[in-house]
Amino acid sequence: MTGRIRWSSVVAAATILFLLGPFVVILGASFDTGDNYHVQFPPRGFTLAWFGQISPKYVQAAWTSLVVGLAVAVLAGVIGTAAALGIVRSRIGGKEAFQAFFRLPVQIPLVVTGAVFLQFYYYVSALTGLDLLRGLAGLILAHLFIALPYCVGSVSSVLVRMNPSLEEAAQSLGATHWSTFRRVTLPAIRPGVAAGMFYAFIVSFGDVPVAIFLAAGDAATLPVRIFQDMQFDFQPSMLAVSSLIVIVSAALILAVQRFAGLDMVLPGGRR
Amino acid sequence: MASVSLRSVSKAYAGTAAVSDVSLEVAEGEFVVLLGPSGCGKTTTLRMVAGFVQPSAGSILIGGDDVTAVPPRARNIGMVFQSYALFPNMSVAENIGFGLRERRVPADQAKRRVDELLELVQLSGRGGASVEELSGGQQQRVALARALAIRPRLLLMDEPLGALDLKLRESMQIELHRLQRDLKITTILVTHDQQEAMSLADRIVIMKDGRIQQVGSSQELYDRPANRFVAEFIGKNNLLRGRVVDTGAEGSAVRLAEGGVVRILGVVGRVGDFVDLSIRPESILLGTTPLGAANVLTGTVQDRRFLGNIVHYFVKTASGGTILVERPAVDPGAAPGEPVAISWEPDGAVVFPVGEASPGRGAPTA
Repeated sequence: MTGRIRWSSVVAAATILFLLGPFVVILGASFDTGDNYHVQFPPRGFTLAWFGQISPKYVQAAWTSLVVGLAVAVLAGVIGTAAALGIVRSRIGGKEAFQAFFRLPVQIPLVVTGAVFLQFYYYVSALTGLDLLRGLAGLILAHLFIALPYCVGSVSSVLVRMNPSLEEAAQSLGATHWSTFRRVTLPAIRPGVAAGMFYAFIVSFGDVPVAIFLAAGDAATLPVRIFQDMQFDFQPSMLAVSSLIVIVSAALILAVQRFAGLDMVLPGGRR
Repeated sequence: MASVSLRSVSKAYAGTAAVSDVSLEVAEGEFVVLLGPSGCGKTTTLRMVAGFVQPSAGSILIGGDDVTAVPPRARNIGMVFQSYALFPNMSVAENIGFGLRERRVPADQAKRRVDELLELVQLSGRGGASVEELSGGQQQRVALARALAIRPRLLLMDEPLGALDLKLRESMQIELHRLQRDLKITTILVTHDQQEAMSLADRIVIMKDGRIQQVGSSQELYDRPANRFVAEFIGKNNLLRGRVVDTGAEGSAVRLAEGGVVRILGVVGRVGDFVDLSIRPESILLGTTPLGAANVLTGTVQDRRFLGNIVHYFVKTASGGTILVERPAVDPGAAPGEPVAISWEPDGAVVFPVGEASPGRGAPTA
């Protein structure tokens, strides 16, 4: 019995180390004093110089990523909530088919999604003259496609657990459908919506395979920029950029954990 | 306050009847309880009155107005749910004031009404509390206050006390009864608990398989059950099967499967027909010698349970059936293993005809 407990502790510790390792290396290496063309870990000194040398094009890319991510989060939140309400509440048959349909984007390799959207935009452009590859609309649309399933899923999961009597109580007290939604349903499913939006943002913010097709040149997102520079033009300042991303992400996760509960976001959550 | 009429109301789900041809008149200010086992259609009936379920056929009138096609929010009904369904994101006062706000009642007026109701349900001063801080009984009161705040024409309650423990349930029953009397509000309550139904209702509606079995006061249902189901569902009961052997002006004679011929009142069927005798445990006398009532069976005391003011005897008859007898504790009674005579008067048995069924053996039912 004790042997088993010790064994599981070892596995747990190893898992934590495995999950934490890369971050420690990136963070450590970004403070290294040497001017290397590879990652140096453990660092041989401590300097914040690389953070000062972050190129403005990264700031530009970060801004692009942020705008795209927020737009995707908001759109996915609104559309995902509406879709989840429709799927969970509808009394029509074929509910399972709808649910499977909304999971579809997750099952397609992202590279394929990116290529398909690129082809699709060419097609739209040829047909209507509308160039979705100019500006961020095309990228936002494609990210919405891959992020929506997370939103639909997280909102659905709180919706099915919601006490149906709550809405009936509101209606018996004279509330209209809209008022019931605004004052009763939405507050009840808010954690699911927040979690879905958070996930949508993360999916958009971290995406390379789709964005690499749709966000070239000046419109490149942060991960695309890093990916390209990593291939052709490594600078230690890129480690500094990566470190910043790690720090911001950790802060974001803590914030969500605080306000919505992380269990809502990660699989195997509460209840 | 308003009367309620259900006129031949039915509800079918995918071809299966949940409620069949239910007709019921509830008078203004009356407290009616729908009682039955789970799946009997009582909750569906209540939800049709509330407007959450659309009847497949028939019509529902509240205060004389046909509301069959009126949505729940326009029916002006107060509803208390089994789960209470309190809004977790709102305080106690916000919950109670929800319906007033939806009705655009001015804030100062609404506040006065909320305070009034907090006092009514004995929660004065707790208006600012979160509903999750409250005990089950207190949540129940908030749910009731919220339903009453809008001055509904009708109060509907779906197993409102089901989640409370026994002690609390009994005290809430008394409170609910008092409140309903004081407010004179027409009330329909659904429960599967016959004791609760009997202590609350002016009239009880017993349902089974989507149909009304009997409507009447507690006493009517107890003393004159309309059928075997009602007799078995309300109170404790012995069912003895027998066959009519003689019919006459002053009553009939039945040969019991338990052995012996007993007299019953009136004429039920013809000679040779099978009948069920329903005899309440407290209508049966028990002694080591026959105690003088007209119908006598003999047996042996198999088990004796002392319950304070009363004693339950389980008497095994000659043919192997068990009959439950309830006697006051002050009676001399008998000890387990003792041979006894049990007896009852002809008017102590309610008789139901049995179709083509084969004769069965009497057994006490809870």
